[in-house]
Amino acid sequence: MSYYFTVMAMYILIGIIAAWGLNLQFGETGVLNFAYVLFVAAGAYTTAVLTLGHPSASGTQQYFWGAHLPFPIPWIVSMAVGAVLGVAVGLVSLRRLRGDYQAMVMLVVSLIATYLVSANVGFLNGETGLALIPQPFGNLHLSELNYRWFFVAVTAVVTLLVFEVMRRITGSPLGRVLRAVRENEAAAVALGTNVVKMRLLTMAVGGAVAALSGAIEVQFIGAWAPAGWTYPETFGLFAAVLVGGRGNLGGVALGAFLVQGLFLEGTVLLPSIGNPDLVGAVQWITMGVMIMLFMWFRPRGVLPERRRRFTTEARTRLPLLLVRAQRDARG
Amino acid sequence: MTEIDRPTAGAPSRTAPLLAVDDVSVAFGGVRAVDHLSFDVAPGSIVGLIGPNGAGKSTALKVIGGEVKPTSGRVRFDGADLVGAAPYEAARRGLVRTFQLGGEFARLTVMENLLVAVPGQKGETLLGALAGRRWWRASQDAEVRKARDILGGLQLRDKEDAYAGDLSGGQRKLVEIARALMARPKMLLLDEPMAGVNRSLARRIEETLARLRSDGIALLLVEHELGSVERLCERVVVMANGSKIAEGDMTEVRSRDDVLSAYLGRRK
Ligand SMILES: Nc1ncnc2c1ncn2[C@@H]1O[C@H](COP(=O)(O)OP(=O)(O)OP(=O)(O)O)[C@@H](O)[C@H]1O
Ligand SMILES: [Mg+2]
Repeated sequence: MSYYFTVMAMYILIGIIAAWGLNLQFGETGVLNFAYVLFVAAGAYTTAVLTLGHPSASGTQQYFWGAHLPFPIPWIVSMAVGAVLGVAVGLVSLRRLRGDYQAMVMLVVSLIATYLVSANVGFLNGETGLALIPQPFGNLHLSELNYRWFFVAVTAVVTLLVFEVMRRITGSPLGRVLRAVRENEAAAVALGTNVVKMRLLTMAVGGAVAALSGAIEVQFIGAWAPAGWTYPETFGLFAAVLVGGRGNLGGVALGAFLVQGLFLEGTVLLPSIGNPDLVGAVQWITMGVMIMLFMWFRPRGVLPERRRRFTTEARTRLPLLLVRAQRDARG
Repeated sequence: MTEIDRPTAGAPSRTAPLLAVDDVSVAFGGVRAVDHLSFDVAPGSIVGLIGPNGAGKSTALKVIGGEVKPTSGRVRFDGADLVGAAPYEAARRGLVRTFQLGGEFARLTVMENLLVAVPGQKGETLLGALAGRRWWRASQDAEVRKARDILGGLQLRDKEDAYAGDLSGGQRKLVEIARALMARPKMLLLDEPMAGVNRSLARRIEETLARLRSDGIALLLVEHELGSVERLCERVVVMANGSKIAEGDMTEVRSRDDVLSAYLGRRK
């Protein structure tokens, strides 16, 4: 059972990290990045080749290049790759096109990438994908279960770091400009905002975060194949953002929790449905219906974006509590 | 009646113009929305741009503000060419446009709408944002105070926490003007700031615009409410079918037959 809990915790944390990256792009800036899972995959493959070692040492698996680098270098390089890829995809799709066309181009980019990786066996082992990817922290000599919990703990720390980065960005003047781009591009330009630069920035930061989630995932499960990052995976993350509440970090985390839960616990539907192929279909249908219901009845999600109020006096918590205590004593 | 100093009509000033629109044309498919339009705006002056619906006024403002690239012609502002520059350059050089409709950031509060306009804020870069509140808090506080002053002047102080999308049409117009002022403009391009606004609010806007002029901010004002145009503008440019058909002070322009027929013949 404990074993199962580590898997559950990992998937939820990884899902939360990935959903926060998408939230920065879609929830805050309004970029419909339908290629999002591509960045998760880029991080996973990067970490895979940076830990597997030279291809000749890896049995029958084929991949274009490999190294054997210690933690956390593969994760950091993965983030850099995600950021660079984000700028590259952004330059192709965001520079000149209107929002709806941008989304189409992203989707196409995602499909092409899946196809290319699947078709070129020599690149990243094609359809079969890469396996036997080494796990980090191997020199700790922990028992199997303790090791898994240690991995969960490291991931939880990373999740907190990502939260802090996201909180700082979205709570800053930069975050405000990003939301302005989302709300009204023409008005933002008329006020001097370089909208393309802002979108590329979120493509880079969101791409890095997506790649980080992929890097963690690939080392936890030890394998990665094209079937795991097809475009519907992107919509799973969109569902998390929409259901939880775009622009609200807590809401998005809740959304990721719900969506991942649906996919993990979905297997309990198996006995009542019978056909194992149907389970996947039912999960996707449930998610689609969930997105539609939220769009209709609660378009801002379970926890909507907060209204931001401004105080200029530097308030600290303590005097405020004192003021309350005084008021309560009087009243 | 409030005192709005009405500049004496006369020849355009001899100083170098702040804005020079030079032979600008815009074609949308077959439609010539703007047709060989030329005029100047002197620093610190108010020029009206009037004409019937569909005359090409908004399109002219969009070209000047950089949003629409002209088919031909040049726009110079404060010595710099704007046609070849990126669309956001106009604002960075001090030329800020407001919108005829829908210019607000609906799901940002009024205060946030104003703060977005502040140029080059601390904390607006990735590193600045990651540095955390302590890095940008003081400079933001200064801007918040300034924004409150501006909102106070427009009697919008109590709306600072309201979402811009929840305001009335007139209040949104005021927010747009307030926001444009936060951008530290040398000149504003105002697209019908008084349209759909009740009389008392229109009055307030008119007073605000007069005050801007005395602060040395130049204005190009597109407006159908000709009374306000007459009170505010020392010079008006009249457009019809994309072309300039008259230019001069309001009394002069009013007396011309072609202006009258353009208005009477085309007004809905
Ligand atoms: N994006 C566009 N595509 C095609 N035609 C356009 C576009 N924008 C404006 N036009 C056309 O250009 C002409 C001028 O429009 P414009 O909006 O500049 O007029 P206006 O003087 O601002 O009118 P109003 O007083 O009604 O605001 C109109 O015939 C309009 O239909
Ligand atoms: Mg117009």
